[in-house]
Amino acid sequence: MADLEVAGLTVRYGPAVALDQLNLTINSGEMFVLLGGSGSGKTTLLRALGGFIQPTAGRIVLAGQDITGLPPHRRPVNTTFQSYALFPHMSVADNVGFGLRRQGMARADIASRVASLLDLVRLREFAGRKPDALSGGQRQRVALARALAPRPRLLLLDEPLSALDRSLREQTRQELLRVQRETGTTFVLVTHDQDEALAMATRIGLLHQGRLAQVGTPADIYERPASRYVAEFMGAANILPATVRTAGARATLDLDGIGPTQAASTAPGPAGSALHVALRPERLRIALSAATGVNTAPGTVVDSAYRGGTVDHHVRLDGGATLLVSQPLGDGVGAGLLAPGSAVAVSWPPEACVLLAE
Amino acid sequence: MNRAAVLAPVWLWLLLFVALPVVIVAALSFSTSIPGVPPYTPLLQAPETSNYALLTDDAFYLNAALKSLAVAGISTLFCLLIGYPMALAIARAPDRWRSLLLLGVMLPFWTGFLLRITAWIGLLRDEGWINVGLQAVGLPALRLLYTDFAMYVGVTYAYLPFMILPLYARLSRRDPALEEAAADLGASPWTAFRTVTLPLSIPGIVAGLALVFIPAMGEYVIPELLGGPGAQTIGRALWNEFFSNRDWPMAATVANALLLALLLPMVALRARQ
Repeated sequence: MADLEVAGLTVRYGPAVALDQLNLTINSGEMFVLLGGSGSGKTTLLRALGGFIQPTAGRIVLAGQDITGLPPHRRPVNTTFQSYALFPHMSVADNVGFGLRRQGMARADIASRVASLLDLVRLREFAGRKPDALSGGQRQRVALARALAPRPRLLLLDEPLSALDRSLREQTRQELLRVQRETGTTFVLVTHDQDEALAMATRIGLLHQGRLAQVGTPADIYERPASRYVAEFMGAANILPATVRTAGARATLDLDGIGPTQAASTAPGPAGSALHVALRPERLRIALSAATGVNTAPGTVVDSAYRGGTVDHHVRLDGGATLLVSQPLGDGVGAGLLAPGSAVAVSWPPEACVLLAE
Repeated sequence: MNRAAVLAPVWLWLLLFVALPVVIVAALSFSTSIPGVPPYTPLLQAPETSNYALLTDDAFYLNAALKSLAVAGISTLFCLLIGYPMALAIARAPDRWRSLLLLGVMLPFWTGFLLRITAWIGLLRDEGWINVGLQAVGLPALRLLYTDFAMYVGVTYAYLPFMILPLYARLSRRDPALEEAAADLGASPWTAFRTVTLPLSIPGIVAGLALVFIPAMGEYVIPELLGGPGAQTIGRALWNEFFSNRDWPMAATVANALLLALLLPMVALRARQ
């Protein structure tokens, strides 16, 4: 069920275009993540949804109601701000109750709603404290409770985890997902961190230069990036130019600096057309034997780095290309470092080839 | 050691130009007026409290204090009502405008205080610019100069920057995200101002009120130049004791009473915080 529809949304700052005729549909109850680098337009889109920016053109329709022209205080949309923006002169309970007081809710009802929200974010015993006396993670949870209190149709979260320590981040991420599940509210979360997006989203919208480069489930975006930009943004290394050798359902390709390769998917163009291929480092296998076969290439190790969960090898193939191979460290494998200059063979299954249209 | 060396000039200054005069004025208030040079009995010889008795017995001084309270109170309120929107507008103005607007607030300080107050006589007198303007559009002329109203105008005008600057200092540090958060949670612009911006600017309001009210209480020049002859403020009473009556001990008593009246509430406020 479509909850939010954005149609032809354009935001210009003078000559600069922050959002370019953006179309997007978000379903009810989704955890939709807007992902993008700085200047991609993700914050502009969030602010336009919240009503803090008037779009130059386009429409925003929420639950069937056109809210494009409504000021922030008339929208059934609430935001958790990146800086949290908690009111420093109010207690935690008064912060959470702020939106309820604006709705004119009876005092007793406010008290019980605030209490249940503080239970939801596990901050009941902090109700009387001022925001200054809270840790970063606690402030984040107050901001969440405050934004959820007026039962918004849509909750916007601006980089909710960016101000937190790494150790707190995972915990808060779980917390956000749990709250989203329990309340069933539609969440739109903005982040620049692709790991965060993959771990949290039901769907991801990857923004680039004010346009959506791709919208899809985390697996869609990661496994089947629509373009070279998406593949690179999602952390793909080993992007090589290639030529289609035989088109069809299971295309064969000529990879520059490697040679013929069997792919598992359909080539985006006819035989002879150029494309790029991403070989994900964690899908590559490395062997010390001079193995031969389909999708196997000999080479020498340039360097080898221990990364905790994996060992990353840079391998120069005899064909000229350099590949990053990320080898998982299973039980008892040890550091698994390879001496530079070791002769190895790198192999990959056809499914590891991600074909990227030009 | 270094710290003491740096602070020594400060302490010396405070001792010589604050503490010592206060002690002298305090001592003076317990002596009596005599003809001669200096026109008072030697300090701390046979101290008398007759001056303080007169202060409470003669209704003149109490009335002068009440008059000052009214002038300072009303003018401070005007300063707040005019100064707050100005400070907020400057704080919200785009960066490139802000320093220009602040300069505009402080520009009057570049000219003499007396000159600026005298200029108001030209505006307010019976044939002044304001009345000429009123008559030009067919309205009756108003009696403006030498009224209480003229005093309020003068004090408000003279002390407005002292209200705007601390308010601006406070308001310019406000986090715009807080006002956005209030709007986001359903607060109209007015409600956002009332529930977030205004309460967070209270320290600036308190500073502005103190900076305007305290000097306005002792103000002498503005009541003298713009106020009516009957407008006996505490500042004028003090001046008359000192220069007209040559009663230095009584002038010192009035000064001490004013100092205590202003200081005690502040000390009490401090103690409560």
